[in-house]
Amino acid sequence: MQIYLPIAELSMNIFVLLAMGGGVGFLSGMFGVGGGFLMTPLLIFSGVPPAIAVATEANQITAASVSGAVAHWRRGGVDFKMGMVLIAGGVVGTYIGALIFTYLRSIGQVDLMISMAYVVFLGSIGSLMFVESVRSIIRARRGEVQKVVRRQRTWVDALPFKMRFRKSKMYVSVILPLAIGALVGVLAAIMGVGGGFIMVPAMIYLLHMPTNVVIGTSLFQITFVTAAATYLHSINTQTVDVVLAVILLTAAVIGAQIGAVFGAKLKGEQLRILLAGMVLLVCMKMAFDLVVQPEELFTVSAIGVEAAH
Amino acid sequence: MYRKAIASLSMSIFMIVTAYAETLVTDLSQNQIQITSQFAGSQLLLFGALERHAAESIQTDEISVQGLDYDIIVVVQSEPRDLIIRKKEKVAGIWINNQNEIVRDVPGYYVIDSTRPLDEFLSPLDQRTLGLGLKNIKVTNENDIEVEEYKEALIRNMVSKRLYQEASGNVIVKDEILFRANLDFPSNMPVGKYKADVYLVRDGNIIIKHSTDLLVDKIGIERLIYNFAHEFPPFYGILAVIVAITAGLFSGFVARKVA
Repeated sequence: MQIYLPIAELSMNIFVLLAMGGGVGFLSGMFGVGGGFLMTPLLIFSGVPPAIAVATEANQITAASVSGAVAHWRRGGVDFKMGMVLIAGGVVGTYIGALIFTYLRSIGQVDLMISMAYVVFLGSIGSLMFVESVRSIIRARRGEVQKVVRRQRTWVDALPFKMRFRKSKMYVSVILPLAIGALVGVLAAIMGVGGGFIMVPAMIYLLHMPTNVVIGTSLFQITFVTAAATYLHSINTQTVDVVLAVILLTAAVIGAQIGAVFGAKLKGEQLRILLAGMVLLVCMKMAFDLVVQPEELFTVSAIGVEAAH
Repeated sequence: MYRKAIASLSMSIFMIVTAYAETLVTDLSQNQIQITSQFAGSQLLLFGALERHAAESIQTDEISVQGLDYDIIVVVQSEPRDLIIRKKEKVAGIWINNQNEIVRDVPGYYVIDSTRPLDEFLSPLDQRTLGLGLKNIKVTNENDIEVEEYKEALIRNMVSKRLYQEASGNVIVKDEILFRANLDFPSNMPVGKYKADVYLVRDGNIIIKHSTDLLVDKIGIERLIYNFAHEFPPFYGILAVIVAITAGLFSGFVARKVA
């Protein structure tokens, strides 16, 4: 059954969309990740104009993260003060990201930027994850135990404008959380991702936040930042397709529930190596499309709008 | 001497024209195509009748012989608009949009069909001046220059999206009076005003042109969403966020109940 997507202005098979949403939801439930970095490329590969895929995914991620944020908040897993600092940075980042997005769209380069951002981020994150999980599997085989090192003072502690975060039991400079939030905001606006894959490691390894508040706080930030991205894309480029977002969301919620059950049966390292493999696969497909000569070198579009593929 | 001959010749042409004063009546099965949520393309029937008011002095069997020479051309096109054509080139190993050309006043949708291939009954010059056929669509840039490479690219792009179609033989004439043509509209057709032109051709001359208007519109919830997004962007943005948060909270609630 075909459904007409009013903003994307194309008709797609609703079952294909549901399968895509459900599949990505399954994987995100299994790996405990947001899934935006898989959903956006998948939408692009299936013919949705990249700009619409990105903006619509921002909208879907708002929905996907809000229930998680609430669940963590109930368990006391959200550091609201840290969350607000991350959001403050995130909103500024999103604003900048949306400006870049709008400008590049007007000169016909937004698709290129989206693909390049994916290749760079997925490539580096995927490789890091892959290497790290292979190492830990090797360590586990040899029966080595990872040494717990006492935290050393680093350049992070030397930054000014320190603030006390009671929930996280930390006294750190706000500069770093603001910068992390801003980077995530830019990514949300130009890639249609929540940015958890950048923020969570940054919170653990750079900010040294206690792990019990990391996920909840990052989900709290993602909810607000992707909401801001949705709002800005709606104003600047009218690229948010609510119908598409709702269809994907419905299937993703169900998929995530099933995925979580499967994920519980797999070991952490196995999961991470699988996830790394998938991230690298998407990255390679994106890179491949950039390097290989397209069949049609010309695209036609209305003035100021990029073409559907 | 010559002048006299020409005068008599033009007189006789005039006589023929008055003798065969045809009337053409055409209509569409619908004057509006509405895009709804299940929209997956549409078909439309363009039909009409040809009436010949033959002069009394002409014998009837002569008319029927004459009648065999009628041809009909049907052209449906959307209101012209400006388009941008971008060309990818390899820069530093990757393919990027590197050149572009803005073309003025080209149709976003153009379909031509006729009783026979155009070349069999209409001169190339007439085809060109009337803009009949894909190769005769005017594709000029801001400086009024036609860039061949971009024109070909535009036509190729539009044909592959089925937004430009060129065919012949699908205009069926029945009993030399009634004619019909099935028109095929893909789902990606642009919204707006369209015009369906019907040309009646005899002896290589276009004797009648008749236009019918057609409106392609989005209706229902899709229309509402599209208009809302483009007319009130801030409210659309806020609504999109509210929808997402509500859906997220609701599904989380359901998931907790089920689990």
